[in-house]
Amino acid sequence: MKNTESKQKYVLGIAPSARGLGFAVMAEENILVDWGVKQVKGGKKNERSLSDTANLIDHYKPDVIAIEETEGSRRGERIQELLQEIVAMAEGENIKVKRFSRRQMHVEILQNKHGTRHALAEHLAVLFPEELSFRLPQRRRMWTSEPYQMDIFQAVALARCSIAAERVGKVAEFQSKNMA
Amino acid sequence: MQKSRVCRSRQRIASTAGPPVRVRWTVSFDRSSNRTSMSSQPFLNLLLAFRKRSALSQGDVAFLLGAQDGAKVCRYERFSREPGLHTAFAYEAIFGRPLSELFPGLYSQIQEAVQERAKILEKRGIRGNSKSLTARKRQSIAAIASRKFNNPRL
Repeated sequence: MKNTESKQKYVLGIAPSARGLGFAVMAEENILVDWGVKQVKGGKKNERSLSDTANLIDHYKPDVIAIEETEGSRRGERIQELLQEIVAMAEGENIKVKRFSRRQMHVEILQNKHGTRHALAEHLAVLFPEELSFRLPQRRRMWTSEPYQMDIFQAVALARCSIAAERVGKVAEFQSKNMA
Repeated sequence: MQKSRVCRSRQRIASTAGPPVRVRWTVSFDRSSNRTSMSSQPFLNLLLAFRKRSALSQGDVAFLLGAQDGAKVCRYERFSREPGLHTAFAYEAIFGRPLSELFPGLYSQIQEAVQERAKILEKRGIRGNSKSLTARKRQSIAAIASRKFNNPRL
């Protein structure tokens, strides 16, 4: 008997930032397989971030890559370029790319479009206590810079949004089939 | 000029004339050996996930396993080496989870293979020393062939 229950889809969430990129690999059932931050210091950040992404794709062979939607946002030029290059790379590997804006992430996870990054991180730390609770940084003060761990939470949020969107799509497909 | 999207370590290998350079992080796995196709099978093991959950470093795990350094742990986590029975049980002791949960892919592969073999054995015809033994044997093999295993989480 073929084991059909183990068929899983894997999502790779990538959240680039000034310091490098956060990543999270998630299975369909909202199980975190791997997560972390690839720090990129010095010059040629995009090139090195891309090589890190290529390594992640090589190792995990994800079915979907979830990244941030930058249209209409004020993300830096370098990050926007990097995201475009990631999209091109994913297309070359025949991997689906899903993009979510910050607002979509907050609505999906916090059910509130005006949430903060820290609130998102706190929520995810509750959802994944074993994996993320000890990575939750202290609330950022006005005079401090963003902690690097925050990229992990962003990446997890992106992956989770992608899984949720996939589920919604499946339900809609099922309903349309039943209606027809 | 088109930007290169190849990992830097691989670029170094390609450009080096002479003896091959050993690079630490070459992760160009054969797709068929790791996960047979996209979205088809679980990862061979989840050692990396469980290690990260416990916030242990590769060096820490290596010490707990009784290995010299983290290199071996890295190979287990990257699926390039399968741990032996002693190491597997040591992993179970470290993470407090059953082996089927630590090695879900490997477990499901082995489970499928065993079931296939049980079906062959069933077809081959079963004989025992007595009628009751034969019946019991047949029952056991039928149970193995049709058993629905509790699949691990991944």
